[in-house]
Amino acid sequence: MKWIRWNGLIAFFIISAILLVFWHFLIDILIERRIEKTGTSLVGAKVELDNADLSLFPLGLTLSGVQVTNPAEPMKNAFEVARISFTIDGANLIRKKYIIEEMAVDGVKLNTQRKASGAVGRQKKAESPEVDALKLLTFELPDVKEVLKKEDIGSIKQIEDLTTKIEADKVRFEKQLSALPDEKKIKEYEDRIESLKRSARGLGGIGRAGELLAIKNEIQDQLKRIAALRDEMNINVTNYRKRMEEATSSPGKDAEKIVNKYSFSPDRLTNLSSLFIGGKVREWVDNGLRWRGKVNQIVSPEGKANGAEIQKPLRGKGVDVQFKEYRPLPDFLIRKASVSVNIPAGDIAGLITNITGDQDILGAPMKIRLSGEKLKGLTSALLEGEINRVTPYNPRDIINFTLKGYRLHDFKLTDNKYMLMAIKEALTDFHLKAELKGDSIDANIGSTVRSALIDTAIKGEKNAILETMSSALSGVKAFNFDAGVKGNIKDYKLRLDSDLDRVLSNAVGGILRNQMLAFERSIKADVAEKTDRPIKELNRNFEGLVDVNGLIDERFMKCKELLTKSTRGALPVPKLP
Amino acid sequence: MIRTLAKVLVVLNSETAPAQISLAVCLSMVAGLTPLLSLHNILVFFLVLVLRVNLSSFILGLAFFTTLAYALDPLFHFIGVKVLAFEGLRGLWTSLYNITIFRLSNFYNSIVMGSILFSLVLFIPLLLTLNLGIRKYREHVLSWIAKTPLMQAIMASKFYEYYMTLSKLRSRL
Repeated sequence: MKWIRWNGLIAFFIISAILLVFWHFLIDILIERRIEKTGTSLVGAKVELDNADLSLFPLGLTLSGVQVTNPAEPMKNAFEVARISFTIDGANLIRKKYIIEEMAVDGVKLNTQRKASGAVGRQKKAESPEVDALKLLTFELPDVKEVLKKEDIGSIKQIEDLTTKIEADKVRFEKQLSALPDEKKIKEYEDRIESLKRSARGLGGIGRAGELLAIKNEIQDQLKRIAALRDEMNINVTNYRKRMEEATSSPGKDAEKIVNKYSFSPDRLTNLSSLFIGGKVREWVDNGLRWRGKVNQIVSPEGKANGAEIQKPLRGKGVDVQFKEYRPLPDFLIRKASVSVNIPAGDIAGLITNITGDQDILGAPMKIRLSGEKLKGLTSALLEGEINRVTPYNPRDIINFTLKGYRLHDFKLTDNKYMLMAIKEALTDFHLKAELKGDSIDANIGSTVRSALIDTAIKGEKNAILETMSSALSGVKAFNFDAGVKGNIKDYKLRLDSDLDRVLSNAVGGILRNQMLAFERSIKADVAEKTDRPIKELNRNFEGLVDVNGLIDERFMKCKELLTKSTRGALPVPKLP
Repeated sequence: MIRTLAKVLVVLNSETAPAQISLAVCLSMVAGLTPLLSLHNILVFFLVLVLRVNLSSFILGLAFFTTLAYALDPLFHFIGVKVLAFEGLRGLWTSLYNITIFRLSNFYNSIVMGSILFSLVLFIPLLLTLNLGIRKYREHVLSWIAKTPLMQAIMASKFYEYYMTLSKLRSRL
């Protein structure tokens, strides 16, 4: 036993025991840090935990005081959970499968205030198109001269380019025309033909006929050259005529583009409510899509391609090559999570099932159902959803959310640097129905607001139009809206219909329309003035080209006539033996 | 660096059996080249403590091979991927993948597989080479140094006698 160190055996067990004790005391902190770190990277804002408690018998974890910051508003939590507890399947855990049969999520609170900002990195908020459009309502329409200085009037270049081309072609054709028989040459031909015809009547008639034939051939050659040039010229003139029409109409199009950029389109004028409600709807949709992206990171399988699963390599960590499992199980699965959400009106409770990143293995989608009835200031609330990644390359999400008889308090519908519109009090019904297939969205959001008390305020400088609108809106007692969201999630189209349109149009539609028309007229007149000289130049050049075309035609006709003359009355050429 | 070199020399010049030193170095190679927090390393540490191997050599070797592993990671990854993707072994890997204990061993990770294979292949050759090397060193270099007049003078001094006594006492402790 010279090779065995019995003390070493004891040392091994002592060291193992020490490590286990340390693990037992440190594991809670390690889990807490891990959840905070993973959650923060997933959400893009701070995720914090008051406490994590791991129990070994039965194997389970209890998390308390979970705060998830809203990345869009770092001073607010998107949600806060008082307690999350679950037991985990120990046997599968050894196989690195985190299977949670049942989870309890209690005391969820939405949109709570934070003591400190939960921002991670710098967030840049872009202004919505509705805010941009609202800026136009302040209607300090820019100076037309200034606008035209800034804007590129493409039509001027287009006209000038065409003028240069026509000029170049005119010069080329003139040069080619000068190489063809001119008046003098034609006269020479005529004289030669005449003298040959005269002398042919005498004894040398046969010799003269031969000469006449040579002249005729020469004229025929010249005629062919003129005909080729005439054909080319005709094609060019037709082509240039078409381009001239386009070029002369382009200033109008330029003016239209500028007008649309700096003022309202006629559609917008009949849909003014979108400026006040559209921003909020867009905010809801963007928030929803942002959270969908985060949920996607949990429920979408990662690194799977053609059945071979290779996880993304980390530096120095290698890659995990995954083989076929005899009894496949998702790597992570929460079969059932009971959720209870505390809102000021009371509790909304329900179930979320099949939370996993391997829905293709499980063969079932994640489902959400939360509901509450007869609450304080809320008749009923129902949220139903399905996040389907069973076929990973064909993701499909459905969400239905309805609120009935909800008593709304201090709800800001519009809050930007120009105006504030808040519903101080109202009774509302709200519905949202959305379906997302891959990257496309098709959603409908609508609400009926009644018994409303609307508060409006103008921010910044006083403005007659905004003031008129503000006073019109503050008198509204009931309204409804219906928004349609369609298209690609990165660039969707928002359509909004509301009976507020009529109220706003009655109040300011006429004034706005007149202002827009005056602006449009000024822009069009200025663009026309700027393009007037180039268009005149273009016309002059084109006319020059047409003149050359006339000359070629004239030359062609004369040569043709000459050819007829050369054959008329000539002696027949004797046949050669 | 000088301190580490001195430690190596102390171990080499001690009366520890060459096999105890070389086995310690070989075990440190397995633990150092493969990811430290792997299941098989529990067995390695168990062997290091239970077998009468030289602990100083193990610790020095562990430091050396852990550093070396960073440079060799791409090679381990390459070997690991080739072996794990080898069609002829797919059945074996699939069977092991479905056995809990092997799943825990992380064998399906390219660096774990590559580094284990690399260190196991080198284990016996390194053990034999080191054994031979230590013996040769002691036979030739150490005996030559011991015969030099300077060393003879040092060894004959009272100071050396005290140093040896102290050193034996320390090793017993």
